Amino acid sequence: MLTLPIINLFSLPLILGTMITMSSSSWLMAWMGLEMNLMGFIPLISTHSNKRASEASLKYFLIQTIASSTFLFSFLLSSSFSIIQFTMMTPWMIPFMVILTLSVKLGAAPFHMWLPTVAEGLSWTNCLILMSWQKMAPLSIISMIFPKNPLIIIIATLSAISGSMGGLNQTSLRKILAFSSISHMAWMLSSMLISKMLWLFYIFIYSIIISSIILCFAPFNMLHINQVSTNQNKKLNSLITINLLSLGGLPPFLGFLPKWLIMFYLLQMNMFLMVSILIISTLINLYYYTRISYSSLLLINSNNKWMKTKTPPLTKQLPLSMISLFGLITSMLTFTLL
Amino acid sequence: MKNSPLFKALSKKFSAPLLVVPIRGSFWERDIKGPRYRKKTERNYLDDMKYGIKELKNEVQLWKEEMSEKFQYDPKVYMPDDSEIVWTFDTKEKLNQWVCTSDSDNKDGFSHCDLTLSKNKKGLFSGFLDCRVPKDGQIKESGYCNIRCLRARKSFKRDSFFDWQMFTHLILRIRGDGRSYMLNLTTTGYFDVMWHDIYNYILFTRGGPYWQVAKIPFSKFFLSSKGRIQDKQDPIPLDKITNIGITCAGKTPGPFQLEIDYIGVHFDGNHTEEFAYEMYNVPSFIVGV
Repeated sequence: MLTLPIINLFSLPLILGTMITMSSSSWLMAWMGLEMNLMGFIPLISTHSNKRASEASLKYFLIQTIASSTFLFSFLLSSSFSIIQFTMMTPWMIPFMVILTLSVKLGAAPFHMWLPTVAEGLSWTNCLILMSWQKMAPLSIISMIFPKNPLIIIIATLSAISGSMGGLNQTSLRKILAFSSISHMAWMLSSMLISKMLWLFYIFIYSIIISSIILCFAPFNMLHINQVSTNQNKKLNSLITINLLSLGGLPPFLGFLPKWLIMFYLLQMNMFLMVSILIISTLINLYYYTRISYSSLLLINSNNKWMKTKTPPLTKQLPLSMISLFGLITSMLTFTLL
Repeated sequence: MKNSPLFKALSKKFSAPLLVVPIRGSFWERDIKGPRYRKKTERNYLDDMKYGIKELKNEVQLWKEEMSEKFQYDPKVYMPDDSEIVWTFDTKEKLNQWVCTSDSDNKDGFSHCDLTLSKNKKGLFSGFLDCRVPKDGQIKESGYCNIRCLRARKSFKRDSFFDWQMFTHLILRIRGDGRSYMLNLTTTGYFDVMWHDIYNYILFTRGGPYWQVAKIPFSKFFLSSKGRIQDKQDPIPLDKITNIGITCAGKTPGPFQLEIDYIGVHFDGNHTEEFAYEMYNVPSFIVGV
């Protein structure tokens, strides 16, 4: 059972593990940070009260440990060729292996099949941690060591396509957000071709948007599309719509800003095919985001007079959603004024 | 636990155990049927190949339908007060999707049952429930009859699930004989400890000539494994349902019949109950609970 002492105890290795990986100067410390992160996250997700959650946590543990052990093996193999760093003498397969194992940990295609099923089994808070915080450590390793590897282009393209196509046939909200996280992974990986810090900016904004979405769904225990569409709270429906459109990268909202930057710089590097694949996949993502919210705003408008449920006030959801709504305009104004 | 109304209600009709088995040292199980009921069949490879080629055509057809539905990318979203009829019992082909078992098939007793088409073109689950115990030395109680649908499957004999996450109620239009039947929703898991997870609900039928539409919320189903109600209860995972079954068992021997028109699922927008049984979680440092 997830009590406050357990959360307090295990959130420390969860956060510190990622910090260690991001600030490490050696392979071993980076790997150690990944393992510490895993050790902190597993007790948070494996509650015994729910059969489905324990199955999802077991699957997560198996996948992450296999990826970690293969990652350990691959960098040890590299050190057998050159002790200090990668030189021209190391064969090409080792960066290949490192990036592939880290993409297993991230849930990037073609190793993305575990992410929707694991996300479906977790609670909303754990889903949020899985989709935002757990991505930081492996992405930081890739950005520090292999930012301009051609394999990243292949993985980004596959992630964009599979994230968009996979989410089309889903009705469970957690699976939809898992597929959207796969396609956002494509944007983050392609931002590494531009600079080492742009992916951090993207994941920061992505974390804000996804936490505002999950903050709208979680208190009302919404797990399915038809629960969103039959929701009678109009303020909540509009907040959900704003956040989902922001996640899809629609211009007046904040989610457009990181995508705009990445598109701009990729086009300057003449990577036209890459940009077109990313934009088309984002458009498909936007279709299934709007499918969640359009029926509540446009189609169904029934209010039961005899059913009085007290809906909690939207004090937590409002500030974050306002960031989504006005973030782009305020950031552009500050850039022009400065 | 023993004072709970659930236990009292159930112990009147269904008292475990039905048979005595040797004490097991581990949870590990080799196969789903268990040592008592495992059948040894000799396989003829040539016959298997001929059967496989015959089945190939059907499976390819099924696969084509699956792919066309998958690439339409238009999942059906159900609105409040929507129902979907999953099984009807109009024709003999539909009855072939159900398997009828009784204790005499497993050499556990002398009951017999059958699923036939009644004169109103509805399914008729009828038979004779015999509570005599065969002199086996192992069986303590006897008398059960069961119908269960075939497992949901995809093309090429792959196992699948019924995805009823968007629904809140199970609806059945039935005409019973006053007996209480047990509805079983099997959620066979991947790991062997979860192979025998069945969610049950006792359906009380009226004996009259009028049809009865039973609308049962999924939150009322309770978890049992191998016939024993579990202490740690869980709401049913509606996306992992593999089979549905109806059992007639009890201590009153005699003929029984249950006429079924349809079995379906229903979405009630006003149903807010998550689970009808104990939902509180005790912290792990409190032992014995």
